[in-house]
Formats: sequence, structure tokens, C-alpha cells
Amino acid sequence: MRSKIATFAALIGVGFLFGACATSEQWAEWRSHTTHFASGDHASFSMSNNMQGTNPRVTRLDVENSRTQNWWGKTITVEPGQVIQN
Amino acid sequence: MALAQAGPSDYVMPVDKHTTPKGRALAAKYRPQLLEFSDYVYHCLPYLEIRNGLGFKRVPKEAADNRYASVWIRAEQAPDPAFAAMPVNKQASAMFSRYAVPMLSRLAAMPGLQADPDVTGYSVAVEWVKPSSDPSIPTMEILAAFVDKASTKAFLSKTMSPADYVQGMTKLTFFDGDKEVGRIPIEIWEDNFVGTYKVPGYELEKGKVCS
Repeated sequence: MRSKIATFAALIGVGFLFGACATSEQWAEWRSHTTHFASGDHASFSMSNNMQGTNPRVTRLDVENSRTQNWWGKTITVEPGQVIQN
Repeated sequence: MALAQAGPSDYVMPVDKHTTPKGRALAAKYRPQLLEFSDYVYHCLPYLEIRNGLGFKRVPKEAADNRYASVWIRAEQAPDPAFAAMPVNKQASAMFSRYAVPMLSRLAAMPGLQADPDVTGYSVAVEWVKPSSDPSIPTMEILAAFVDKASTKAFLSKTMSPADYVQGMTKLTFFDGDKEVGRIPIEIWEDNFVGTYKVPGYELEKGKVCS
């Protein structure tokens, strides 16, 4: 299967303070999951829907399209066989 | 040229891609459960992408044909300076707690697996973009775990501590880009993100139910 990836993204763990050692407040913030999708592509297909006079909606197909369009093509990573064997 | 869109069944590794008769038999036997699993991730957790095929895999380079119900997920997240500032083992702990534990829970709940002697355990690999890596050629970080069924059942039912569960994992390996780092000390803590987070504006396909 072709590798795909996106700028369509979930912003995870927002709100950590700086510093290498996380405080209990920081872990609490992580757990509070202030997370959102932050990519421009998400915004664009939401806006597209708005222009059609509907509420902003994101379908699973929109997600898949965004991944395909924003596919990096190449990443620095190990061979899958180093992680798991078929 | 328009690219064909992948659907849930495309994320299940075909039976014939399993390299041994035992693997192929398990993949065929549990195909309905694997499809259901893939369907759940595809529709209910759109910020995750299954990688390299959901199926029955084994520990790399291990001679024995011990089969683990396996899922490899890529978690998509925007760059975050605070996450980047965390020590790598904390990043890995956070990703494992948030994504791998729910996947383990889902795998362990697959009907038939727990009692099947041909299934050694469960395997989850979580992959994410290394903070501060080159956006044009991102470096991926991966944490892969292989765990036995009994320990997983005990951990999920809270009769085994997270620390003991991590300690007893058959294999736990961290990969930084194209380098295998090896075992790193991780923690597991409670994280209900997967169970509670809703993508703003996300419209679930008609007829699908997430639970």
C-alpha cells in the first residue's frame, strides 16, 4: 500500500510549559487533551462546505484525500521488517 | 491522475502476505475481526492511520513462529514545542499511553483470540513525526511492543501494574528515524483521549457507530 501522510493533523498535548522535565501540571494538561486538527487543508475543505451553505463538516473521504494530497513521499525511517515480521 | 482512496479493508494485510501457514491460517480465521478493527480505526479514529497491514505478525528475527495480533498506527499530530521539549522516553510514554493502550485493549477484545493457543499475544507499533525534523523529509519515531495475552489481560483489568507490564513485555523497541535505539524506559498512565476526543466537524459515515 502506498505510503501517505498529511498535514491534516491532530495537535496533541498542547499547553506544556517549556523544560525537559514535565511537571504534574504538564501531565495533567496532556491528559486534558486540548487537541484539534490544525492543518490548512482541514480548514479549506471546511470552508468549501460552508460555501455550499452547509455546516462545516469533514468526512472520512476528506481525510483520505488530504492525506493523499499532502503525502510527503519520503520519510526517514526503518524498514518495516525491522519493526515487525510478516 | 486521480488516486484510488484506501478503505478499511485495504488496511488489513492479505492472508497470502503472511509468511507461514500458521500466520495465514490465523489471518483467514480472524479476517472478520480484523476488518471490524480496521473499520473502527478508519471511521472512528481518523487521526490514526494503520500502517503495513493489520494482521498476525511476529517478532523480527525470531526463529519461532509465534504469532501476535498486530497493529501499526501512525498518529498524526501538529508540531508542538512543548512536546518537543520533553525527553524522548516521556514522548514515547505519552504516545504509548494515548494510542497503544487503546489498541491493545481493542485487540484483546477480539472474539476468539484470548483462548486461541496459536495466538501468542498482541503487538502494537505507534509511529509519529520526530519533533523538529525536516518537514520536507520527516524523521519518523516508532515504539513497538510485543506482549503476551495473560499479562495484557491482567494489565487491562488493573490486576497488574503498568510498571510490571512494561517490565514483562516480550519486546519493546524504539526506533529513531533509520536507527534502532532498542528498549527505552517508558511509563504508562491513564489517558482517555481516544475514548473521548471528537474531531470538530467530523461527520461519521451513515450507519457507522463508534463505541
